[in-house]
Amino acid sequence: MSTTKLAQPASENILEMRDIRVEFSTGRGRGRRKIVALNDVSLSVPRGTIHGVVGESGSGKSTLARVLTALERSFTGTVVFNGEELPVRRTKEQRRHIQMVFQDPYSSLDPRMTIRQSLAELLRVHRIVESRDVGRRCLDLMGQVQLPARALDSYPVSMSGGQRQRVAIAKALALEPSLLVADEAVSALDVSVQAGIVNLLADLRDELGLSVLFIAHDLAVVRNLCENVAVMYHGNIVEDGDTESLFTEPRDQYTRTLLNSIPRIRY
Amino acid sequence: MSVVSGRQPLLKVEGLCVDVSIQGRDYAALKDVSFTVQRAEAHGLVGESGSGKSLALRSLMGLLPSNARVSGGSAFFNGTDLFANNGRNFRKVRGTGISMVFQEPAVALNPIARVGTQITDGIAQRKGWSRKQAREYAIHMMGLVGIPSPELRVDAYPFQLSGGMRQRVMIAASVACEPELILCDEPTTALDVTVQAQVLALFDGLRAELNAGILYVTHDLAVVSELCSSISVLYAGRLVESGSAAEVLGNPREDYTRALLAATPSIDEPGQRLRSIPGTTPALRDRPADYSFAMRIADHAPDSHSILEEH
Ligand SMILES: Nc1ncnc2c1ncn2[C@@H]1O[C@H](COP(=O)(O)OP(=O)(O)OP(=O)(O)O)[C@@H](O)[C@H]1O
Ligand SMILES: Nc1ncnc2c1ncn2[C@@H]1O[C@H](COP(=O)(O)OP(=O)(O)OP(=O)(O)O)[C@@H](O)[C@H]1O
Ligand SMILES: [Mg+2]
Ligand SMILES: [Mg+2]
Repeated sequence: MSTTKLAQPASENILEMRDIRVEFSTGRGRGRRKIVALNDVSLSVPRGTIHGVVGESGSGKSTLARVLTALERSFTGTVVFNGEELPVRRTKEQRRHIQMVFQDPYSSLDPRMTIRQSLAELLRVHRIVESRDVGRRCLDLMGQVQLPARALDSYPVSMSGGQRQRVAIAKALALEPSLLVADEAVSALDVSVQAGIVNLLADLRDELGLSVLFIAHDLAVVRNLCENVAVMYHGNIVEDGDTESLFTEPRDQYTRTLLNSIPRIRY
Repeated sequence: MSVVSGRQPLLKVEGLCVDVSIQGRDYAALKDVSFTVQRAEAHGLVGESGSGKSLALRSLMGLLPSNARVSGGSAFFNGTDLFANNGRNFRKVRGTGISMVFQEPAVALNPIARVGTQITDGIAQRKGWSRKQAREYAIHMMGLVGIPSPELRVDAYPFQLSGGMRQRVMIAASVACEPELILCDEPTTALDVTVQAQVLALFDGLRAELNAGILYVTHDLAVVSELCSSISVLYAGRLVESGSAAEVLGNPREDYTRALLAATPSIDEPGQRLRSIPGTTPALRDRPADYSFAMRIADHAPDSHSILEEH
C-alpha cells in the first residue's frame, strides 16, 4: 500500500449534505409536470467510513451522487465537505477530492489508451506527483487495486469487467480523493468479482482511511460492507443509521418492505 | 395448437456450439451446450462473467455479434430449427414468438424516442392501434413493471428516467406482445429488491397464465431460486451441471456449482468478508481446448478470502 496521505482532518464528518433539493420537469403540453428528485435531503458521512445508500429505483440515489460530484448543478441546499462549504462551481482542487465510480466501467475508460497512459495523464494534469515519479505511482496504484503490474500496458478491451472496474477505481484513487462515490459500481459484476471489489473498498477504508458513499441494490453486500446505511424512497431519506440496527430493527415501513423482499436461496 | 406441437418442448437446444473469431482465428465460446425449456417453465442459465450466457441467448435470437457464429447444434422452437433456412426462421419468430430483454438498457433503447412509443412499437402496428390506444397500453405496461406515475413518464426520453426505470421500460417492451418464449439477460441488476420481486412476479404470471417459457440468465442464484424450476450451470462455455432447481442448488454435484453457491453473499451472516472464487475465467484466447474449473483451482493457491479456505 502507498503511504500517500489524504486530506487532514478538519471535522468529524467528511461530508455533510443539508436540505438538498432537485426538481425536474417531464411530460409535454398540459401533461407537463414537476418531479421532485430530491426533497430537502440531508446526509452526513463520518470520516473513514463506508456509508451505504439503498432504496427504491428512481428515488434519487444517482441524483444525490451527481449533486455531490458537481455533475448536477441545479439544486438548492448546501454541501459541506471536510468542514468547508462547496460552491456550485468548484475549483479543480475541490473536484479532485470527491471522485466517482460508475456502474459501467466502459464509459469512464478511453479505449485508445493503455492503462498506464490514462493514469499518467491524470497524474500529470492534476500535478499529483513530480514527472519522474509518475511511473512509480502507476505501479503503486496497480498494487492498491490488486492488479498485476503488467496490466499497465493493456488496453481496456482486453480486460474483464472486474479488471476494468479495478482500473476505474485506480483512476479515481490516482487523484488522491478523500471521498469515493460508488454508484452501483458492483451491480454488473458476477458474485465472485463483486466480492473482490467489495473487499478492496474495505481494505482502502481500513488502510488509507478512505471514505465511501456506496450506492447499491444488493442488501447483503451493504450489510457486510457499510458502517451506516441510508434508505431512500421517493426523493426522501426515510431512515438513516448504523447498519446492524437498521437491518435488525428497521423503524420505517418502506425499510421493512425492502428487507422483506430480499431474495433467498430456499433449498 | 396441433397435437404434435403440444407434446414437443417449446425450446430444445442440442449440442450448441458458438465460435468467435478474434484476429482471424476461431475460438470456441460455447461447446456442446444442451437444454430444454417447456411451456410454462422458467429455466435458469447461470455462471460467472465470460461463461457464454449472453452468446447463448443471442444465438437463439439470431443476433450474434458479427464476429461470432453458430458452428454446430440445433435449436428447435415449436418444432422448427431456428438455425436452419439460412437465418430466415428468426424473422418469423422474433417479437411474438420469442423476445429478449437485453443486458444493456443503454444499447437496447433508442435515446431519441419517447419510452412509451418504444414499448408499443411492435404491437401497435400489428393490431392497427391508434396513437391514443397505443399510449394507453404503454401506460398500462409501465404500471405492470412498477414505474410510479406512468402517465407522467410515458412521454419521457430514456435519459430522463433512472437506470432501473430504463431497465423496466425494456422489460415492458419485450413482454408487450405476450411472446411464447422470453429470453432474459440479467434483467433486474438495476432494480431494488422490492421492484425486482414485482418484476419476477410479472414473469411468473406470464409463465403460469399464458404458458410462456422463460430462459433466465443471471449470476444471482437467489433470484434464480425464486423464479426458476430448473437450472443449467455454465462454466467457460461448457455445461457443468443441470437439473431441477432443488437438486442443483440444494444438492449440487459439481465443485463449480458449490463454489458459486459459497460466493453468494449472505444477508443472514453479516460482518464477514465476502468470499470470491480463486482466479478468474480465462479470456477465450487463453483457454486450452480441454479447459475446466479444476484447472483454474489447481492454478490458484487459495487466498485468504477464497471459498476454498474452509474445505
Ligand atoms: N434529466 C432528468 N430529467 C427529468 N427527470 C429526471 C432526470 N434525471 C433524473 N430524473 C428523475 O429523477 C428521479 C430520480 O432519479 P435517479 O436517477 O436519481 O434515481 P435512482 O435512485 O438512482 O434510481 P435507480 O436505482 O433506478 O438508479 C426519477 O424519477 C427520474 O425519472
Ligand atoms: N464479439 C466478441 N468478440 C470477442 N470475444 C467475445 C465476443 N463476444 C463475447 N466474447 C467472449 O466470449 C466469452 C463469453 O461471452 P458472453 O458475453 O457470452 O459472457 P457472459 O456469460 O454473458 O458474461 P457476463 O456475465 O459478463 O455478461 C467471453 O470470454 C467474452 O469475452
Ligand atoms: Mg441510479
Ligand atoms: Mg452477458
